[in-house]
Amino acid sequence: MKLQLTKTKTIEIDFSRLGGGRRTPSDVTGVVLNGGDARGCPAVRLVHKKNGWNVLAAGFVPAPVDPLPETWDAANKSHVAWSLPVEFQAPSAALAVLSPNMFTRQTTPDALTADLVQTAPKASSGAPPPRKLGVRRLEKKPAAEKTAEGAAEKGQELDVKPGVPAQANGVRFVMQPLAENPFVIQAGLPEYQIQWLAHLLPEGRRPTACSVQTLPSALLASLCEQPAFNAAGGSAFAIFVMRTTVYLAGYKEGKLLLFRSCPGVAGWEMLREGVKLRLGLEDEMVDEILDDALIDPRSAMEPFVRPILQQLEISLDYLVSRHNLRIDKVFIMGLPSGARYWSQMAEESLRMPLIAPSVFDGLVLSPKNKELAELTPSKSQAFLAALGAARAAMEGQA
Amino acid sequence: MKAPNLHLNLLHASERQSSSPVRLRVMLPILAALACVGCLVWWGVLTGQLMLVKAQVETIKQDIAAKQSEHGGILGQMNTARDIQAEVDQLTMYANARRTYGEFFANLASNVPPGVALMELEIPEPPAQSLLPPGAKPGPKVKPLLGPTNTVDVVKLRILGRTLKNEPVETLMKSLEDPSFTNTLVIAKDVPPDRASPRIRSFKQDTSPAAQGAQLLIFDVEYLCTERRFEK
Repeated sequence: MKLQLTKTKTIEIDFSRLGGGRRTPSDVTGVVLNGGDARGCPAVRLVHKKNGWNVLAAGFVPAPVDPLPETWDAANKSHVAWSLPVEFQAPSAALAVLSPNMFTRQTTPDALTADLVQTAPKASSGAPPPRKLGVRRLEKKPAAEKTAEGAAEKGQELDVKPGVPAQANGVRFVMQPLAENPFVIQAGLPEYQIQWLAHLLPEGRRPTACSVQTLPSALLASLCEQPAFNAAGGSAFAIFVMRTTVYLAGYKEGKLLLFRSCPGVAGWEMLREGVKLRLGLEDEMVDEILDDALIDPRSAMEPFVRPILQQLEISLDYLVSRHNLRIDKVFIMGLPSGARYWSQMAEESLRMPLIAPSVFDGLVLSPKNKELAELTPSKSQAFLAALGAARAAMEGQA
Repeated sequence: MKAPNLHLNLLHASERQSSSPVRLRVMLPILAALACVGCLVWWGVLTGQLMLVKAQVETIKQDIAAKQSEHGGILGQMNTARDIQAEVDQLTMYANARRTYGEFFANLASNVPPGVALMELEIPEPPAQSLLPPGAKPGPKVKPLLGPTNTVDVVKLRILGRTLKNEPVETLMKSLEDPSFTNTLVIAKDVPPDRASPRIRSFKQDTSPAAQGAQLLIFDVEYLCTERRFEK
């Protein structure tokens, strides 16, 4: 709350620091929504205890009955309350969402303003429709959102605080500065989807949503507790190979320095399809072949992996030339199978092997949950984004 | 090395909901209602106690008013009783201060020797006593005391008579020292003359016309009597 004492003197009181603010959750379930996995939504329950980060449960939970809405009308329709299985009923949930309308990008504040000005005429199409009887009322826009939207329409520079969500043209976005000025990383989702997600888990029942992130931004926190990552002093590179896309992220002393999605490349789903067709395999055999040493599938993987390795080389060269940062540890995360062949191909072309650790390395697995012990490094990759979402939501527990 | 966390949370803090089964928006009105009910009950108890105390006060006031007249009568009676008691006390003091001389005079008549003629027996009037209350000045509004209290009056007996010579008078004075007289008269000889009893005031030749031709003497003897005490 701001109080204007005189014409020139204004004081600001932050009531959230006076004991009324929310505490950082220490028990969070990370869930990936709309990830496209037929088994369900990957979920990980992460608890911070004195002995470190504990994984209480990891598995697939049934997806919500209603799909992720694509319009305001769909978001306004009443939906079936979503409840998670008992082992995932933490007090809070961090949702990582994969949406065709989302974006996560590295940009600058100037580019962000220009982008919002260009998209300003489309604002009317993204506006919420008039309220109808029997439809749940969506919340009003906070003042900060209106400010951002107004500034965008006027072509002014945005005054968006880091980590504080703002809204423009029907899109809610949030940004954080990167280690390299003036770049920021920005993530956004349509406003109606966020409001739908905020009420997807019903109030008064465990868990309720404490965080909504885009899936790529959730991935970025998944490396935090990796022993190899910390051993390298936090200066490493990561390739996040997801179902349909591939993201590259460079870290310098633990801080994100570079983030980009690989243009013109497909994710591991296409790669599996290619290997399957090239080698004439059944669908169930693909993962076994990719993890087995009997048949070399590199010729089938080459068209998919080579462009990614080229992008990796470009990124590493950029870090060396721009920041004099020589990376010698590159992680490959998210691959359900075939990481060994990716590493061999990287060693051949870049003379740099790829590290493919288990997602749960550096974490304490609950001895009560025997399914956790059975997770191989390949199988654990399915929970990468869920773990990252939960880890990011527990931001104060580092 | 612990890597700093990057959290791009698109959810506003105001949009976070509580997972508690008892929601704050439900608990707050219930707590507020309970607090109101508690206040009402407390207020009711206080009001009841106040009404009870007021009723007791009214009853006591009526009781006091009813007893006020009786109390006045009792106070009046007590004053009257006190006055009467004072009068009775005063009368008792007067009674105690009363001195009787009948027996003295009867004994005196039988003990007068020949040659002595008693002319006058006088008990002088004592000086008037002040009946003002202690510290009060005389005035029309000052109520005088009923009588003297705790005072002592000195009473004297004066005997005047004629005689032919001094021996009969000495005989009379000797006879008055008898125990039958000393309960009335005080005999004190070995004291200064002004406090001696008896004290011969005069013993002289009678010069009155009735005594012409006879050699008569007139004597005047004063005796102290026992004190007159105004006390109970």
